[in-house]
Amino acid sequence: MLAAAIIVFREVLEAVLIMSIVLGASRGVARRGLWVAAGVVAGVTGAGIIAVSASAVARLFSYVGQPLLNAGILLVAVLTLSWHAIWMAAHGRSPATKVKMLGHKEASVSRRYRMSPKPSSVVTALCLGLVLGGGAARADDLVVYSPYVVQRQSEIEFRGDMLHDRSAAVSGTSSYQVSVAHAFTGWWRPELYLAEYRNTPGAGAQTQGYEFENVFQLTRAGKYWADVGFLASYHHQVAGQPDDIEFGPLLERRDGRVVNVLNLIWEKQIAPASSNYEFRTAYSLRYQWRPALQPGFETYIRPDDHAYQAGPVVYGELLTASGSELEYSTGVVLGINRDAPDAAWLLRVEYEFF
Amino acid sequence: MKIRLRLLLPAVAVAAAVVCGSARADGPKTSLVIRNQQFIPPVVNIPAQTKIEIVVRNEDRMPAEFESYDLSREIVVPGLSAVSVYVGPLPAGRYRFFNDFNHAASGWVVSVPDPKSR
Repeated sequence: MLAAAIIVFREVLEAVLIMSIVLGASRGVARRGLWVAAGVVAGVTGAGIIAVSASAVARLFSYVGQPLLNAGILLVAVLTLSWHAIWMAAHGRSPATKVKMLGHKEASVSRRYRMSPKPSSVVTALCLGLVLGGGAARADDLVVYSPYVVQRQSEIEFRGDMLHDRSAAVSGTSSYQVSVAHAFTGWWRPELYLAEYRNTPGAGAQTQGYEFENVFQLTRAGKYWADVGFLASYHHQVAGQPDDIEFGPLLERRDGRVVNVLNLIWEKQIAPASSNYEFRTAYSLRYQWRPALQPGFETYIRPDDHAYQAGPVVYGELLTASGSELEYSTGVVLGINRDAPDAAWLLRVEYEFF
Repeated sequence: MKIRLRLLLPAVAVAAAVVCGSARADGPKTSLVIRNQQFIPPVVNIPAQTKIEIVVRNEDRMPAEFESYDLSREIVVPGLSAVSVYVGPLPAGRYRFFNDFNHAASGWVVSVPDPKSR
């Protein structure tokens, strides 16, 4: 039941993401509402047809109908994407084809959307060539830091995640953290994590430790190709785990409504000391469709943990009359190799005020 | 993949270069004031194809957010303070900006081809 709910939620997220991209990309194209609506209707109709004929399809060809259908859909997807790439390469340069190109992009995406109600094919695509399995990952790494510091702004933040995995030892593990921050200057924001808990299926809730984290904004907005910040934090763990420090650059670049954020973080154990540095990177991309709804995705790469994760995340901010902001982001990052959890559900809420 | 300290040096060097770079002599600069929840002036002329620093000074107590999809910028300006934002180099044209904390306030950056005409 939970698995079905997860698939439905993920597919709805994906549909919203794709529709937002289509709506954003086709701004200014005549009758785009009609085209997008037609795409949605086609998608719903296609999903309906597949749902109604699911059992008939499954019985076809001595019960290999379902795999054949999945293979067919994937094949169409590959052909569409290849055609799209070739078409773009051939026609993309001419400004006169710009509007046509937008229309084309839309057609190709709506074709994709029509397929998206078929979750098993999406899952198949994600799992192509991947080995199944699961392992633990440091949950507090599932965040992408922005390099900006706003002078005198204070912040209360909640971050939580829940793992879903084939392995019963990992599945159901949830972690959450509560922190407070205040920017004393326009370039330095210290943050104190008051509570870091992890709730594992067998062991129950445990305090993980405390963390003192600092974000430094090194460049002023827009001065260089990307805005640069620096993260430096000290993490004290109470559960017999070693203390560690983390540091590295935080990069952000905006192009119109598209926001890219990249973190390159090095981590080193200091008590007991280790001479090794573990590297990880986090990347997020979002489209600022509406302040309250900004679809995007996040990617986490931790070579030292052999963990690679990626998935859709929705971001948003809600404003109050006094200039305070409530920011949220929620989504799911899927494990794309054996040592990453199958899925990590994320929720972050922060209240920023002066 | 364990990474040794010497592999970090390039990263540290980049960070240092960036910090030193930001301390270098400033280029062209202009200013924009937020007063009584309005941008003054509502139209900011800047030279085309030039990177320019806009000092956004908020004279109200209420914080503001200088935001522009056209300029790819989103910067919170606390009450009674100033924040620098760089824009450009931009082709000639009009670029809309607004206060994301109060959408009643908006303005334009106009990139003018001849630098002497601003």
